[in-house]
Amino acid sequence: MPLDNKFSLKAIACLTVVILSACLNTSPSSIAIEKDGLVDVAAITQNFDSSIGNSVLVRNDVIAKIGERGLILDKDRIFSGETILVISTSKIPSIFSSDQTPEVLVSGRVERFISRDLEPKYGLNLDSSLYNQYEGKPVIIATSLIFSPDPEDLTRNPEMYYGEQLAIKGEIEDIKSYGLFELDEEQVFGGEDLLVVQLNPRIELENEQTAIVYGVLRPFIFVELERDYDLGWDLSIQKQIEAEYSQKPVFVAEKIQILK
Amino acid sequence: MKQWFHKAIANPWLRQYILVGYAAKGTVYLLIGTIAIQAAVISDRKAAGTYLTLTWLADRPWGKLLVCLIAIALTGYVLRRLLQAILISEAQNPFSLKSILQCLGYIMSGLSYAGVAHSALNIVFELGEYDDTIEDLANQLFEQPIGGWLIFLGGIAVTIIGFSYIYGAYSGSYISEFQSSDIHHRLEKWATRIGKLGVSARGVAFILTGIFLIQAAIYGNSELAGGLQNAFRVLATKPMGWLWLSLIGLGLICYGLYMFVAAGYRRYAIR
Repeated sequence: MPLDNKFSLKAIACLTVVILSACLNTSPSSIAIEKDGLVDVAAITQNFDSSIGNSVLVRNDVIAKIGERGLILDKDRIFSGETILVISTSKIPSIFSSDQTPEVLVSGRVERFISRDLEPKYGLNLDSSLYNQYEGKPVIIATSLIFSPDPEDLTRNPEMYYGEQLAIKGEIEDIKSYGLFELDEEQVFGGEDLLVVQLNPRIELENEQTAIVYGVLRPFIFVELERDYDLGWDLSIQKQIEAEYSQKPVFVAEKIQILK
Repeated sequence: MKQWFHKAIANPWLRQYILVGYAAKGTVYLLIGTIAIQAAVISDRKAAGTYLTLTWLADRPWGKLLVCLIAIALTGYVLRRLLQAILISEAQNPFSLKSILQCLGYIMSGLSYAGVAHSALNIVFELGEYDDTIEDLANQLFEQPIGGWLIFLGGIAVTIIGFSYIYGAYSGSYISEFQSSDIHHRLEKWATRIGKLGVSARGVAFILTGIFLIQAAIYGNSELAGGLQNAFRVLATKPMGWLWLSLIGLGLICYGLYMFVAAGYRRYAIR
């Protein structure tokens, strides 16, 4: 074998070790850490028996609406898991029917869907013709169901979301000392970050943290925000903020949940 | 038209412009590799992908000017890719699968360097912010019914490209031919060696990116998808991460240096 080929063979072999080490060690454990707090739909349906009775928080696209209380959530993973039925203990807000596949944040308990057991337990009255096919399958009985669009959906089409209770998941960035920060848009082209105002008392945030922010979207009208929320901005900050954000939508954060 | 085109690509100025593009690409890789090695050795440093590397450079004295020059020079490389894509259509069998894939490859490569040039200008004129385009794309795709499959197939394609780089490095087919009359034979020998290492390192980077895309599809998590920055970040968290980071960093430095030699002595600017 010529010298150059020997050399390149060794060098390439060495680099290939790098790939193998990365392949062998990229385990689902790193994913669990990434998504702490939120549970994958696929993970629930795949480990159904051990999930029964667990309280879970899931966020995914609604792929179908069933009756007044039921939704089917997408699973994202391509090889494993199944989509899941969600039954809300209260009526599902009408805003969910306005988008084709809206994302929702569901908080609830995993159960096996046996209607004769669940109906008395949760005070439900379900139309058996709609839910027959789900008997024995996994279901999440949702105690809370909040519309959860992406940050860029709010900046692109704010009028649709003004005044609604929302839970927005995103990456925190551009934190300002006076309680403003942005949630990063996740668009390949275009897309504008979502401005968020944190109410008092404020929690300590760090850039690049992923969080779910609960609250409502409002137009940025300084006087109204100051009147309704007592943000404590002094005059110099007021001028700066007004110049920068006036007339933009702002998300008023009532609660922030950091995901690890 | 055809004659005019061939006359145009034989223009010596065009050749120089394209070769300057090589040097610009080399500079970017040299910097990415250097920062990766720094990150491996110094505890509070982080490895950077293309965008953050250019941001780092822009923060140095005269950095913005350099980043601006890189952006302009890189368009020479973009031009090369586009000319290659056009030349493919003159191949014996322009509609064969091989020609079509090659043409798509040239266009993708051209677009990605156009993207780098665009980011560089964004940094200089402070127009945008750092964003992982691949992660964002994965996130958008997950909202589509067959999006997960598209991410999976994309991951496989990127992984195959990575392996083809490594094979191309081993067989020497991805290494430039130099003007043997101008280049010293020892320099040529070394340039070929570091070129092989460099192309392999790029291959590894592609394979890692591809694997992370495949994992993103399997685990339904767009955060696993990402570009070089993401690959570095994940590598750094692995056992012996500093070693892998240094090896890839070293490989990318080799690639950068090899691009400089190619800029000076490449026989064919376009091919």
